[in-house]
Amino acid sequence: MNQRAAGLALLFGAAISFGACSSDDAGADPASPSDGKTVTTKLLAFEPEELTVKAGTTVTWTVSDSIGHTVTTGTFELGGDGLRTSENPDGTIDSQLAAGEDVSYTFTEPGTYTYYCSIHKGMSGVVEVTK
Amino acid sequence: MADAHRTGLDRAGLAVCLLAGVAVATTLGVVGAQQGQPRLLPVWWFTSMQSMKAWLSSAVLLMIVAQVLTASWMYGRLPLVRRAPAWVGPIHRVNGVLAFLLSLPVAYYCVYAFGFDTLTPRTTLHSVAGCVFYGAFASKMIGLRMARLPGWLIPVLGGTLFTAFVVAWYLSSWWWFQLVGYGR
Ligand code: HEM
Ligand SMILES: [Cu+2]
Repeated sequence: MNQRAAGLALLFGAAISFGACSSDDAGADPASPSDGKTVTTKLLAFEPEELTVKAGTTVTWTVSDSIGHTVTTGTFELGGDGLRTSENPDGTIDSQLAAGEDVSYTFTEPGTYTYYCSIHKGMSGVVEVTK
Repeated sequence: MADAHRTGLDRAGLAVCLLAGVAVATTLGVVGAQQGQPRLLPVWWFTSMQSMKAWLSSAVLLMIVAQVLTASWMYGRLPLVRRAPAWVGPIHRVNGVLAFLLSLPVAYYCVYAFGFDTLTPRTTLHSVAGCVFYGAFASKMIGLRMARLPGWLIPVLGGTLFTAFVVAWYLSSWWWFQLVGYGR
């Protein structure tokens, strides 16, 4: 093995450890309109996770950053760590959610609507629809 | 390599070359597991980090397919065109460097802004394949600069890195395009 090869091996190590020391960027958090009808994603979470609205209300899901998600209604089971261990989509909503691609749905029937992001195991939410 | 039995294989060199690859792959995985977490990085005109990575790595995939073609050509394994002209080697080298450089932002986004993810079988396998890709690449670059290594080493490493990339691409870009389409 010659010097060039050794140098290359070193370079790889350096390139890899480089990523480890950059600073953390705080997620952009624009004050979301708290009219109770908008759910905004922040990193890998829906905010608010629980939303209560009157029947007939249109709920809009919107993305605050640069991570793509889905809004998928259905039931699921949660493990102890808050991650879903099973998912049963019910087909009411199953849409892509990305910047500039909001998802809206008008809840006409009172009830409890659970939903999740089918990409990210820890992203789940619920819309409570009252009379 | 033809005179291997005369001069003897460089067994230590072979071990160093392979271990360096294992070290690179392992380091990537460990760094991803320890430092990686959901973070926001710029996406320019893309609508999400996933879309950006999906398109970038698809461009890399095309370049890597060209790498396999030029490599097969140099090894005389292409039908019809037996002998590779002298310019095939340099093309393979330049295109390889460009493909590698273009893959780096993708890997950086993956490792730093997500990490080694074991939450689903898909992301687990994807993470492993991504790490193997860079490990095989490191071994190949080192192996190319050493003498008296077995003749199968470079083709095997090249094949491994191609396969690892295709697997990583299939489990991410392809999966993503199936989910959201090609519109963004
Ligand atoms: C060959 C190099 C790589 C390529 C071409 C690549 C490509 C991609 C692409 C296109 C995506 C977006 C689609 C998706 O969300 O699945 C993605 C996501 C991801 N990558 Fe990679 N990747 C590479 C290496 C890695 C490595 C080394 C790791 C971990 C150590 C990794 C971990 C991840 C994870 C965890 C996600 C999921 C993000 C999510 O759930 O939204 N990738 N990758
Ligand atoms: Cu999500």
